[in-house]
This record gives sequence, C-alpha cells and structure tokens, in this order.
Amino acid sequence: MPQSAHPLLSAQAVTKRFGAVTALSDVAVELTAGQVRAIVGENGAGKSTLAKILAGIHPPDSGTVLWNGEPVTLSDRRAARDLGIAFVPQNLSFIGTLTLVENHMLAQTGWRLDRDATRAALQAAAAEVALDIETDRPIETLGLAQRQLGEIVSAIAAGSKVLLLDEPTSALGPREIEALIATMRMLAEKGQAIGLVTHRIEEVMQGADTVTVLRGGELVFDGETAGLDGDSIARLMVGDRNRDRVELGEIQTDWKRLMVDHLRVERDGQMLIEDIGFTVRQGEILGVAGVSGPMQPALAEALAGLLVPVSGSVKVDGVNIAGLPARARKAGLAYVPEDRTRGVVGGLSTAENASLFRIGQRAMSRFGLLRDRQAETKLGADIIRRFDVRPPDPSLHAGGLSGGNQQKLLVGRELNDDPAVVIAHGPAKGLDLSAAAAIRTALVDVAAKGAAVVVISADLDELMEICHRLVVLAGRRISGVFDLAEPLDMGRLGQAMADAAPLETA
Amino acid sequence: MNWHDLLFWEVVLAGAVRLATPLIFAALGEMLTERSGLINLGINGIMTAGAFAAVVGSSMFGWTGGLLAAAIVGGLYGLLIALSVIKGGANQIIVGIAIAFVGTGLTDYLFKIWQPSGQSAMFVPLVPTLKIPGLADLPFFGPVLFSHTLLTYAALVLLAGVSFYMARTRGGLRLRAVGDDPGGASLQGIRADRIRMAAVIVGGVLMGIGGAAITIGFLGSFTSGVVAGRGYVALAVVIIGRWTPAGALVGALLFAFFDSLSLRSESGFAGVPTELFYMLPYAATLFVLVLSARGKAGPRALGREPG
Repeated sequence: MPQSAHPLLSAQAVTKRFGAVTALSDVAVELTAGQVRAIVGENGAGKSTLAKILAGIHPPDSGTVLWNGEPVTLSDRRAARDLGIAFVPQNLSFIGTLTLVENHMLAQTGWRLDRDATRAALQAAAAEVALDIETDRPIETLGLAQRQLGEIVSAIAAGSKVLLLDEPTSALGPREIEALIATMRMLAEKGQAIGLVTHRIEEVMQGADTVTVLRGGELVFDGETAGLDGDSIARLMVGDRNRDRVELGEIQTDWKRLMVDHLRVERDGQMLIEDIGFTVRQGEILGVAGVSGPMQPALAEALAGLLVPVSGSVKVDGVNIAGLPARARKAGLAYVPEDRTRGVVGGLSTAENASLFRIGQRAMSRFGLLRDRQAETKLGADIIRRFDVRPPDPSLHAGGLSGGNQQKLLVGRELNDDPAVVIAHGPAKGLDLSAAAAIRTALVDVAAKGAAVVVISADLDELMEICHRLVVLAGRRISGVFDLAEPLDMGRLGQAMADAAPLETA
Repeated sequence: MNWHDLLFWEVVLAGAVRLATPLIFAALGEMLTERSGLINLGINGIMTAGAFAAVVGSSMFGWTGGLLAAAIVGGLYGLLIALSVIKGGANQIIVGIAIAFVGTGLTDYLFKIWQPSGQSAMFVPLVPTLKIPGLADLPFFGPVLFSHTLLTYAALVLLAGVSFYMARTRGGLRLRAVGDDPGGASLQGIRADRIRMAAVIVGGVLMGIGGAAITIGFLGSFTSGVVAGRGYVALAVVIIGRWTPAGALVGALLFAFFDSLSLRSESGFAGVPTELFYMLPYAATLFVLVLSARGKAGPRALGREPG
C-alpha cells in the first residue's frame, strides 16, 4: 500500500521546549496520502506535542514544517485547517451546546447559515466512509464515539487532506475502537493522510502503515509497521533503561502496614478500579505505573480515604480507613495529592500550611483553644530546614513560593511526623531536577524510617529509581507486578503497560 | 372609566406597548451582551445616561439628535466596560455595579449643570408618532397596536432582526459559541475577545436607546430617577425570556402591562392605596422570574472571568 509519493505534511528537525522541559528534540515525521502513521510513546514522550506542532497549535522552537514539500508557518490551528490539516484533540474541541451542523458552520465563511446544505454535505462525507452520524442534536448529548466521529466527518466535509487524531481511543470501548480503526483505514484508502497518536500497541499493529516511536522527546524509530511485532514496539517505547537506582534499605520485616483488599472504585458512574489488592510492608516503596488516566487519581484518593470505594478495604496498620479521611489521618496516613494546590493553601503562610492538620492539637495550641503561633512558626521553620524550602521564611505566603518549593513544603508537612503509610501521587511531577531529587530522597528516607510508601507516577524512570516493587495499573486492574531487585524484563513491562484492556464506556 | 370599560383596557394596553418599548431595547442589549458570556450589570446606569443624553440631544438637534446622542453615550459606556473587563481583566460584576452608580450619579450631576433649577421645566421634541394608515383607525386594536412612536416599531423590527441574526447568521452562531464555550470557540479559530467587545458595545448602544425611549419616547423631559430601575427589570426580562428575543418581548410586555395598569389605577381604585399598585409591576416580574428561572437556560460561560 505505501506509495512512493512525497509526503503531504512533514516536520524536519523540530524542537519544542516548555519552560525548562524539552518536549521534543530534533524530531522528524512524514505523513503521506493514503497512509496511516502511528505516533507512539509513553506519557511525556512528546507525541501529542508533535501532533500539535503539525496542527499549528504549538509553533516549534526550531525546525520546519513542510506542506507538499514547501516550508510553511502554521500560525494557528485555523491556518493549518485552511491548508487542509485537521486536528481532533484528545478532549475533542466542538462546542457542546451546538449541534454538529452548527459546529461545522462555525468554521465556514459567508454570513448566512445554510443548515440544509451543511447537513447534506456532512451526511455525504459520512456516507463516503460508511458512517452514520447524528447531525442535529447538541453535541454534548451524544456519546464520546459519536462526537469524535462527528469531528472527523466535519474535517472531511471541510476538505481536509490530513487528519491528526490525538489519543482518539483513550476513552472508547473495544468495539468503538475497532470501528474507529476501520474508519481510519477507509479514510486512508480514500487518500487521506492520517496521523494517529496513541500509546496502545494493538492499534498500531492493526491500523498503521508506518510508525514513529518517540521516547523522552527523541525519535527512536521511524519505519513501516510490517515486520514489527508488538513486543518490539513496546521495547522501543520503554527503551533499555539504565536503571539509576538509589540505595534502598533492605526490608527487614514482614509487617504489612498497608493492606488493600478487593478494592473497587467508581466515579461518576464509571467503574475505574476493579478488584485490586496489594500489600506494602514496613520500609517498602511500591510504585504504581501505568498510562495516566482517570484510574490513578481514583486509586490515590481511595487509598487516602477520600473516595468511598464501592467495596473492599484499605487498612493502615490494621485499621480500615476506606472512605474515612479523618480516621486515615489518625492512623498515620500521609497523602501527597497530584495537584499540589489541593494540598497547599496559597493564601496561608508557610508555617500555617505546615501546621494545617495539627490545629487544635495540644502542642500547637494554648489551652487547646488559641493558636500557638510560636509553635507553628517553629514547626514551619523545622520543615523548611529539613526539606530545604526556599526562601526559608515561615511567614511567607505559600502561594508565592515556586512550584518546587510548594511541593517540598507539602511533602515536608506530610512526611514530618514519621507517618505509617505514605500515598504520593506524582510527587515530583513538573519539578526541576534538584527539587525532584530532594522529594525522592525524602520518600526513600521516610521508608527507611519504617513507613510503607506508595508512589503513583506516570514517570517510569522515577519509579524504577526509588521503588522496591512495581505494579502496573492498566485498564481497571493490575496487569503486572515486578520486583525491581531483579533484572527487569522490559518487553513484559511494555506489554503490561500497553496491552491494557481499554476502559469500557457506559 | 373603570375596569368594566373596554376603553379602560384599550388605554392600559396601549400604554403597555409604549412602556414596553424601552425595555425591549434594553433587554435586547443585555441579551446580546450575555449571549457573549459577559453580564452587564451597569445597564440601569447606562439607560439613565442614555435617557439624559437623549433629552440634551433632542433639545439641540431634534429627536434624531437625541437618539444619536443616547446611542453614542450608551456605546461609550459599553466600550468602557469592554475595555476594563476584556482587555483589562477587571471583574465584570464590580465593573457593572460601578457603572450602574456612575451612570446615574454622573447623569444627575450633568443634569444639575444643565438645568440648575433642577426642574424638568424643559420639554424637548419627542420621537414622532406614526399612525399606520388604515390600521390605526380600527377600534381597540388601532390605538393599542398601530398608533405608536417610531421607536416602538423600530423595537419590533430590531427584535425580528436580532432573532434572525441569532438563528440564521454565522455571526449569531459565533456569538452563541463564544457565550457557551469561549475556549472551544477559540480552538475553532474564533476571536472570542473581539466578539465579546462588539457584543458589549452594541449592547450598550441599545441600552442607551432604551433610556432614550423613556424620555424622548413618551415623557418629553428628564428627571432624576426617571429610569426607575427599569435596567434591573431588563436584566430580569432577559432571564424570563430565556435569552431569546421573543422571550424578551414577552417579559417586557409583562412588566409593561402591570406598569401601565398601575398608572391607570393611580386615581384611587376601590380604596386600595396607590403605592401598592406602584409595586405591582416589580412584584409581578419578580414572581414570574422565580417561577421561570429554573434549569440551565443561560449561556454556559455567563459571568465567568474572560478567557
């Protein structure tokens, strides 16, 4: 099927930085008419960034985008669309209160609206790829798959030649995924160039002619899918990691400080975690890996007692704290939420944040009634010193601290009291190297002192660096358990992460 | 004349149509603004300023000058709000309340300068009344529907125009898109800020004309407090009308009907104190508002910070 024709849309040597983070480094990609190209990688590999550069959403810091071999500057998404480049973002972009017909008309020109002609054009475009679409109901009343197909059909009806789909299957059920892949194949046969951003290897094997594998913002593979198998793509995605492990303490005891049993968690009517069980021993750090989704926050909140599980138990030193955040605190559970603004109160001072959960405790108050500001300041100063929060002034507003220092303050507060169990979700996410290292060290230290630690993170390197054991959360279950003291089977790990059974949509 | 007479109702209904005119303009202005996702709480101040500007303009250049002055002043207030909220990032609630006070306060001040006696002695040319040939002579319906000022007919034409704009033009569709989901609209390449700027300014123009419709529409003079909270009524009318032009018409007529009724009832009515009748239009509007303002009918992004 691959044709010798020159690529319709390509990028050469593009580099993109977001602040201090390099999202893409010297990457090239080509999209050819009649072909589906998969762009794959783990979280943060830069695959979405690459698609957004091709769609005109992000300008590259350096490098060129070529259209029909000619360099072009895509100033925004509209400029790209005018050329014939359509982009369907992961969270979709159509306006929920408007119908498909209306959404399609938004981007057209001319002052008068012609609903009938627009509807006919959309139906014709849909019929071309054997799709059935709902054109006249508000988009938000449709299912996700319908909305997605609507955006695709709208793009085709608008005459686009390149279709970029960012993680289109992340929220679809198995049958919907199959249908979408069939649609992509049909579109390719009609001469569209398709860019499919995904982390699911099955889709690459089923639907793509060529594949671009990114890892850490760098291009690690570019070639035809034929001749590759899922395992080798998984290996390319995950890479041969030089595991830079920190010195981890031996686990002395078999004392299971955290016991999770048959945990099932639902949110907004969607089953997110189905029957998970694991234990974490005193001194142990357990990593929870897996492609980010709604499961991770649900698991973190359920472990912290914040989300009431459908069934199952979470025991901290034998006390079931499932759905009982206050009891969890009392039992010695420390929680570092993914979103630090949920843990640090910006309007309060560093000292006040440090003593937030100890208000009313004897040591933090006078006569159990009035705040003891001296004790608060002392505690704030303690945490600042121990966890190197800068600037080291307990009276400063926490909201004025940099992200890294807010995170150190949050982690410091949580770890300061020698907790029994620590639940840390993305504890070093978005931090610079030194702040991230400080936080990892703090987690290792608290484990060495006897805490059972769970680190939920999308950053596999981070988990491999500080964890004793790794569980992979995929679909709604644990798809693999890895003992990091032994050499790791990267192929198996890649499979566990990628072969996730997709979430079923209601 | 009492409520048994057909003539009584003829006068009340004709008055209702006349009194609805300012509300239709103002409510359409507010509706367009809110459809873009911003709320203009300064509407009462802008109507007051428009009412006064219309009298000054009319006294100098006749009624066309009055209308133009009211439109310009309303538009300038709209521009002020648009700049401070959209460009300056100011809180739209605070700015709206400030404009509500500035509009009335500044107008009173300028009125004192213009007419130091503080009297409404000066009467100015009104917008002419057009009796539609043939139809105006119909019994009952003639006086009620077909002998009004040009402004009343203009309000109805505008109403139809805005309806058409909202439903049939790309501009109207984009306005809805911006008001419901400015982020999504931007993703579609729509300049949300520009649309909001335009909506707030055009809205201000209509509010100014709404004020003019009170003074040069039927009163012929300006007094302090002449708007009598009709800006706030227009805010309610937009909600009662579920952000649609036709709904705004219904809401405006509702208030105006009771307003007109209370004016007729002034001369004592079965021993009921007149003050109670003055309350009637506001109470009725509040009552209907409470009954009708259920569910999420408004633009999704209404009142959220710009962006």
